[in-house]
Amino acid sequence: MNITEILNQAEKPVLLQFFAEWCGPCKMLTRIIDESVEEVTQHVELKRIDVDQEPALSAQFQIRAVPTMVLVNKAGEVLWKHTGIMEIRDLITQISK
Amino acid sequence: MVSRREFIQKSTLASSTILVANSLESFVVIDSVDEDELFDVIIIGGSYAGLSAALTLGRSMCKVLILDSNEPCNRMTPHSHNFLTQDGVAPGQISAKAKEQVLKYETVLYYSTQVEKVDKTANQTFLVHSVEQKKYKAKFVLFATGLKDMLLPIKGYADCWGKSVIHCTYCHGYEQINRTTAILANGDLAFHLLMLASPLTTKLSILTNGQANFTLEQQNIINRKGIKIIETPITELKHKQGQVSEVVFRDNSNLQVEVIYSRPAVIQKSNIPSQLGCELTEQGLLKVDNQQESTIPRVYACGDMTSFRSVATAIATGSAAGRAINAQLCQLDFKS
Ligand SMILES: Cc1cc2nc3c(=O)[nH]c(=O)nc-3n(C[C@H](O)[C@H](O)[C@H](O)COP(=O)(O)OP(=O)(O)OC[C@H]3O[C@@H](n4cnc5c(N)ncnc54)[C@H](O)[C@@H]3O)c2cc1C
Repeated sequence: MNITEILNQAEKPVLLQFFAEWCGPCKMLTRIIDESVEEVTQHVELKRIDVDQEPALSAQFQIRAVPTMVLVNKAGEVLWKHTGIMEIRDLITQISK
Repeated sequence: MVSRREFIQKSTLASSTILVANSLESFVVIDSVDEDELFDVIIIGGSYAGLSAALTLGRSMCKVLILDSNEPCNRMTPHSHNFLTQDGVAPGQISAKAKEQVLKYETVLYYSTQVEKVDKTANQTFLVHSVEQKKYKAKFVLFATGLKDMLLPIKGYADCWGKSVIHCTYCHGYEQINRTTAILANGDLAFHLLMLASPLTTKLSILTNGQANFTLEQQNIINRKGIKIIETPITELKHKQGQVSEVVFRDNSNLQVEVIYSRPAVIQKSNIPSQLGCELTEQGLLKVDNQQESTIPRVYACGDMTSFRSVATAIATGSAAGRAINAQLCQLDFKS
């Protein structure tokens, strides 16, 4: 998977959610997002990326801790990056700017 | 590139919400160290002693890697006492705050992993192997791996450990004032614990869990104070969520108690320093000089594994080790 492919298929900005299978906080963040997934996907396309499966993509976005979310626009620019869990309201505020 | 500082700041922001109680649990660092990277110091064990050393080293811009398996010896105890500014605070809370403060320093990295082996290499560096088979290189190694308590194989003992079975009067004695107290020990150790517990309560008895082994003088003092010695072997400590209520003996007799002082034997939690050739003292502590350097040059040690067991001492010896290593690094730098 590379970022160009992801962006080509997307119609909205893409929220890359980097996670690892072995990471507790990642599971928690996934749960938080899943509970409001419809609202999230109104603003962005959600793409979940397992750092262990996608080392190249993770390196490209300099992921040194998980969970990390990166918001990328259609032009490939990084609009926002966040490491750690966050509240759904704060996330929606960020992605709806 | 997102710096480590931003990580911490961002996760602290997240922690201000109701979701996450502690910033360091809001994300997990991915190990991305290059195998060729040479650290000034690798600290093995990132609890109070290791983190204290890292603070001193990080403030001098030393490149530090902390490798920690996150099993501090006091993890079973609900509150830690007798350390100024943190009296009565949960152990995990003290270490979470410590990590937050230490990891703000850009040159300090912390990974959760267990170290399996340390090798000396020909070119005066150390190669540290993790259980994930990763290798890390450093000029100095600092052990802060602590001790392991060899809990007695009595039913209920492990459940009560750190809660109502207590190894140290300074740590938890004040909370047990005037309670019905048993000293579960024999000989000199029992006598020592008895002396320390005497100012705290008069309701005392000694459980030797086998034949008593006191000097005549000790025996006379114990008798004079009217303290009962029970030699019958113990089969169980009855308790509710770690709060002991009754000691049951092999002859089915029992004794109501509220607190037990017991100091089981300890061993080094890690045998890696010994494998490297570091000498131990007669008491089984790692032998260090007054700069915390072990008998092997450039291998240092601090905390419980070298010194009196307390959070305050762990932090003091950690700080001293950090200072000594930094001094050596500065000297090396000025020579070349
Ligand atoms: C039940 C109990 C209650 C206590 N209560 C108090 C109290 O109230 N007040 C007080 O001042 N003191 C108290 N103490 C003593 C205090 O907890 C210790 O003095 C202190 O924890 C010592 O710190 P340390 O950093 O040397 O070792 P520890 O805190 O034991 O930490 C050692 C660290 O090294 C890590 N480690 C070990 N081997 C490896 C390896 N191979 N690879 C990677 N990491 C490794 C461990 O996982 C751990 O994180 C208590 C102790 C116990 C057992």
